[in-house]
Amino acid sequence: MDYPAILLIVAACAYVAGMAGALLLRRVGRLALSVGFGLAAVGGACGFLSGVTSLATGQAAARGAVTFWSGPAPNLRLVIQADPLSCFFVTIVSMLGAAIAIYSLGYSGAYLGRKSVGLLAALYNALLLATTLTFVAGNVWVFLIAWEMMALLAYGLVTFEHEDRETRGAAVFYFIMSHIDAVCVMLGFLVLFQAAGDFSFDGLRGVGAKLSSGQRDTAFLLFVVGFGIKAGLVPLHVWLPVAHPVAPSNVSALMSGVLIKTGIYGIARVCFEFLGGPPLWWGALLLALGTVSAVLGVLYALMEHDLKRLLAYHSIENIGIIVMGLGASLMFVSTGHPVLAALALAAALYHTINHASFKGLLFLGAGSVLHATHTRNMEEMGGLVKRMPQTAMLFLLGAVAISALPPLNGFVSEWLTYQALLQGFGSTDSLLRLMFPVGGAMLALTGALAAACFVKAFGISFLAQPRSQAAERAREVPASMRLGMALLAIACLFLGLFPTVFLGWLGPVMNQLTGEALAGRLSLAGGWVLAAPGANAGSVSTAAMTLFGLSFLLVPLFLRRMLGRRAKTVRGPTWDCGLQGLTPRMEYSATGFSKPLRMIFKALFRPHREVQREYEFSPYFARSLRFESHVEEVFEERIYRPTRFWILRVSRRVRALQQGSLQVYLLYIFLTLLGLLLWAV
Amino acid sequence: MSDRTPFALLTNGTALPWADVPESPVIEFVRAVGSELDRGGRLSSLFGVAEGDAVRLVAVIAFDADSVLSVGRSEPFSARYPALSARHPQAHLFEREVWEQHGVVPEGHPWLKPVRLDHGSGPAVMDFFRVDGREIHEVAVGPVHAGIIEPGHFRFQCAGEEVVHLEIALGYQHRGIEEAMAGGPGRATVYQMETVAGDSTIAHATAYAVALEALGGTEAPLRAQWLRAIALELERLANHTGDLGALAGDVAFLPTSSACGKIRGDFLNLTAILCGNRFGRGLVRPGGCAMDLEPERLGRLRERLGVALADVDQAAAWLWDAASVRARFEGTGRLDGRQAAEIGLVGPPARACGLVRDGRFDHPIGWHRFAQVPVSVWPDGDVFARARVRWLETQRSGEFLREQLEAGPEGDARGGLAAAAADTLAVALVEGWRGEVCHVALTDGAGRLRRYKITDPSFHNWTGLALALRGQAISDFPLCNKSFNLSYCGFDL
Amino acid sequence: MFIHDTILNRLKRGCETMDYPAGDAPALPDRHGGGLRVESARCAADCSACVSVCPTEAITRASGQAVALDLGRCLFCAECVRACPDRAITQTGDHRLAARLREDLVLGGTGKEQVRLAAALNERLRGLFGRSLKLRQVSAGGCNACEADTNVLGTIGWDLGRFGIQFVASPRHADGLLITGPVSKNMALALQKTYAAVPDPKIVIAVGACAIAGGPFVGHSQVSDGAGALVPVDLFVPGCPPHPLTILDGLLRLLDRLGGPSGKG
Repeated sequence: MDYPAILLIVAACAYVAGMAGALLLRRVGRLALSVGFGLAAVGGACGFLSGVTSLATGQAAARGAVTFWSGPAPNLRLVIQADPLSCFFVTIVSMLGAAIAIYSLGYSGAYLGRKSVGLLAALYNALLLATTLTFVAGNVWVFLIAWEMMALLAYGLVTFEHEDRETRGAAVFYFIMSHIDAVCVMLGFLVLFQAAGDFSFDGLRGVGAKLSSGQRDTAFLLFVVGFGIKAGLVPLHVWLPVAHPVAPSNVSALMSGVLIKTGIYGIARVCFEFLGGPPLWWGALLLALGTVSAVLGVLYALMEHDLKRLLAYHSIENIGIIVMGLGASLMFVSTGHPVLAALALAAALYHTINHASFKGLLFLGAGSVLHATHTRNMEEMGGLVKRMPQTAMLFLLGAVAISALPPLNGFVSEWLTYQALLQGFGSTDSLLRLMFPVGGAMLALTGALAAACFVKAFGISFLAQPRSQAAERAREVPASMRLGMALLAIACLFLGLFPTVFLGWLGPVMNQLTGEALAGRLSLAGGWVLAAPGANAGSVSTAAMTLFGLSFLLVPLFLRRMLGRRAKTVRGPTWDCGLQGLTPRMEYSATGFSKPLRMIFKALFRPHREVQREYEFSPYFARSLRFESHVEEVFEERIYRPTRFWILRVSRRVRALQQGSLQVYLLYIFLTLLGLLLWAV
Repeated sequence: MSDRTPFALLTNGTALPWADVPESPVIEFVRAVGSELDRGGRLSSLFGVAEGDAVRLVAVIAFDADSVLSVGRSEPFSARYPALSARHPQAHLFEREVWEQHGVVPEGHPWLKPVRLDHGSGPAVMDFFRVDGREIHEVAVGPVHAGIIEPGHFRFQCAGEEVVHLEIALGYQHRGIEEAMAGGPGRATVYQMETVAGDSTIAHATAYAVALEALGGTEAPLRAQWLRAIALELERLANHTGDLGALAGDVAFLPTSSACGKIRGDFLNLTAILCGNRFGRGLVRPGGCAMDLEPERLGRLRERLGVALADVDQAAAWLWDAASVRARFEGTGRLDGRQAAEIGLVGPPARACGLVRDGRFDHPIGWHRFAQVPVSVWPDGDVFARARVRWLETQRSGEFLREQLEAGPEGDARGGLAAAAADTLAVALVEGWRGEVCHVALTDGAGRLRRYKITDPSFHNWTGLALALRGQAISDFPLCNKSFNLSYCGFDL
Repeated sequence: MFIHDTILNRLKRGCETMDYPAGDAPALPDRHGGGLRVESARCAADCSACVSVCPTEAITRASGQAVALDLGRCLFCAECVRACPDRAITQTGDHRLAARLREDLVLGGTGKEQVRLAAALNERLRGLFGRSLKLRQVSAGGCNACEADTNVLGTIGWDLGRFGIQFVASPRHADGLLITGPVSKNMALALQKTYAAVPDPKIVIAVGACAIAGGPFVGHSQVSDGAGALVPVDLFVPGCPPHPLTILDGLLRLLDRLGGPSGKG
């Protein structure tokens, strides 16, 4: 019996039950909350188990598509296919869904009495269902319907705090971008349908061979734009840092953790399965876009002082890294290196789940901070490590993970990405091979900048003294919130310490997409060492590193025991040069921390500074002095604003057609009819 | 005197009866001082003299080009008066000091804060100026600084690494010297004068001696004046050498830094040959000098001086040769000549902005009336210029000493001191190695000191440091601070 | 080119660090005078010529008692030497002046003609600090001369580092304080905070007449008349300012490092 498949159906039912229960009980806030999120957690757990066991036991690979319902028209069917790629993504969404649901049990408590928690829980369950459905869709209809549902439900969740004008604007922006991307995806599928004649995924497999190169390229570009918008790929990313921060934090975590991964799922499915046999420039384009996203994402993140916006920009950076892996993989497929292609793809997908776990953890941490201090502005935080120690430690773990420091998961996936890129230079004679080392160098740059950015994020938010009353009054968050974060932290640890185990599960996915299982080649020493395939490739063992490090720790502990027994510990204030005392104003500010980098990358940021000095007679003695500096958002200012301007301008011209007079409209109808008749002839 | 001449003229090192100092109502007085400053004068000292419950303001204005000082006083007043600092920034610290010492409020003062005394939150300042802005943070340094250096507090308002504003709060070394002078001079007075600023012993002791001699209407014997000039230049050499070494140390240029550390000790030992104490304590006394330079001692001094001068020449040559040093020095901590003149800078920092101001040249007393040291000037106003001016002065002092040690005037170095006249005001300006030291003495009816005002050159120059840091990176602060090398205790008294 | 110049110069000059304490101490300047010696037996019966000339009132003579000269308050101006008709107070030319106890600085009684030189620290502290002493210097209102002469100990001629003695930036890294200045009231809090920030066990060294008893400013209301009023002092080094040799001798005496590795000096 296909137990995992049954588990998946149970999960879906749990979501539906949660949705219904939350809506029915919405008047009783606390009950709606427990029922809704509780069932979501159950569903998530089932979905997670389903996905993992499907992959581990190989049942995913053996599955075919299942038709649940057939409609009157020939292509109108409800087809579900839980193949390895789908199971992988279902694992991600379920893991995150469950952890966040547990977190939400405590987090949503803040909304009780003010807003409808039942609605929140219901939308949450529905979103999880829609996303799961997107991943297991077996045919274009189901896919598009689920896609659209996802967009609408996400919009609903983003506008949950619609009292704020900023939120409303952000949500509308998100809505528009979602629909642009839906249009692109639909057009892409239509191009494919033209050649395949079949809407089901089984039928679309390998359709690329039947298309002319012009049509293939068009389809590819449409999909890249469509899925790129969803994923947040530069230059289509502008909605991400606007929409993610304004949503409630548990929703932001889900959006950053899962929803943007649907774009990755789309690109992987379409490029590897449907289009197949890519020319070299496709991979190069993705590699380039990924590199640019990674670098720009982290640079803009460094300039942010809003904690959630900073994390949103980091999502852009990590999507860039994932897309770099995908691009490299496509390039290897077109130059005929299936093993390297599998390696790069493994790196990309590994980073996907890693990003989901640590970004989810970080957003939940940010949510906890927001819950405790009621502010997102880092310049008003500080001193939280003493007031919220567990949250601080969990956030720190997430920060270490995202900075790709061993032995956590970020390190493993970036290591795999580096291995793929470093071996790329020798894979082809085309000039495009230069992109590999450049990509590697840029990846190194983003790694360093990301570490700097998280030193800032953790340091300014949690350390030193509180900078505001709100930060001073912060208290540790409820246990359910910490439990949710802890679950994701455990995931980060597992993915970091046991990469070979996880890659074993990923094997069927590699097999499905590139024909190479790869898993056997990647592990040495009975699974303790992760090795990359290839003559010059390296190997690393995070588990061994950790054990080594821990054993080293015994030495100072032992020394302390032996030698430090007689010493007494005295606690004293920080040395302050003999002053009256240190004040919070003497702590480094977030914007001050990133100032040197702002100066180095001046050409990109175009910072303006403004000094307002008010004085009576002599400029030497100012009465007041104000210093402000701003950073220009390159894409907003240079691309979107002019585009918006021109679209509005053209629209105003076109509006001339809307005369509002019946006669004129009748004339239009007549002219159109005439035109069509002539054309038919 | 008539209202048209609210000031009396005086040369450096002389006295005039208190009654002969023209007085005017305080509002007119302030206006008159302002117009003297506009005319090209420089405020050497501005202080209050208590008269019962009221206070009189006294101003000593230096006209460097004419080598003359003008002195004026206001009528007694209390409570408040229109601030001079509103239009003349160089008076700001003086008016704050008058407010702190006598309680009269200068109306319209742009920065009325305490100077030395503690008002509960640490000496001076009270509330530190804050710059508004999201990215501004403060850096508070001191009073206990990282090295072996005097205490003071620096409050930076920084935007990242850039200093937007610096406020300096001193007063940590306030020992009450001026207060102890009242009714003096006593047994300890000359020792307190020597330790106003311990590294400028000769300059302050000479100013004190000249002031008392002027009050008595006498002059020290020529040989004593010659010895004082020699000791003053030795003090200058020692401190400038130390400064060049410290500046080199701050940019991690160790050859010069370690060499100059030793050579400074050599110059201090030269002063010790002269009087036994490395800082010149016990040499200068009112009436003359307590010790003399016999031929054998003079020969020893000259020989060791030659060696030390050659050493410092070589050590400095390395400094100018190194491109890394020039890269750090040039353009850092820049002040332009106009700013320097407006805030009333004196000494090497002023000369490094292109201002030709040197007390030995502008207001010569003692031996400087007969033997000149050329004024060392450099135009740029940055750290390089201040270092360069020190080096030029080292060379010129060395030449002056070589010349003077050839032969000195005959006679006894010890002289007698006549009793101080009653109700008399005396002014003595000495160009110490940091700049102009100004002592103003006022006696009462019995010839005892009624008011004694000491203005160390640092009193003028601390504002310059605060200005020079604006817009600089905070990591350049130690370098700028060393390039000014101001006295904390000379300011605090 | 400065690189060649500096290397050649260094080779030519060789090692410029003095041999002391392995060799003889460098001579004090001949007019320095060194320490003081008080032989109260020589004093005339009712003579108080020295008492009235001392600028810091360091000399007292109660009627019928022997004269008492407090070397801790002394500025070494030698006015008393010049004023004494019986040569009861003379200059010794000796640079060694550091003492462990405040009482040891008061000269005049029988057996106390000269200062009783500092004994070394106890064995435990010697074990901790003997080869590595990190000091935090606190300038508590001094005139900068004692600071300058302390600073010069770090230059190549004196090279304090060869004894393991070093001045550190933070009191948390320090083993003790070296205080100069009469401890002005404005610096009292800073000194107390610095003292509290030094981890135990710690020592305190007071250098200069100001740090011992207020120096020329003794009795002013703005100063605390020395560090002893606020913190316990382990070593007193008199002088105004003490010659670097005196300070070095005091430090080495404290650590029992005079005379090289064998110890006693």
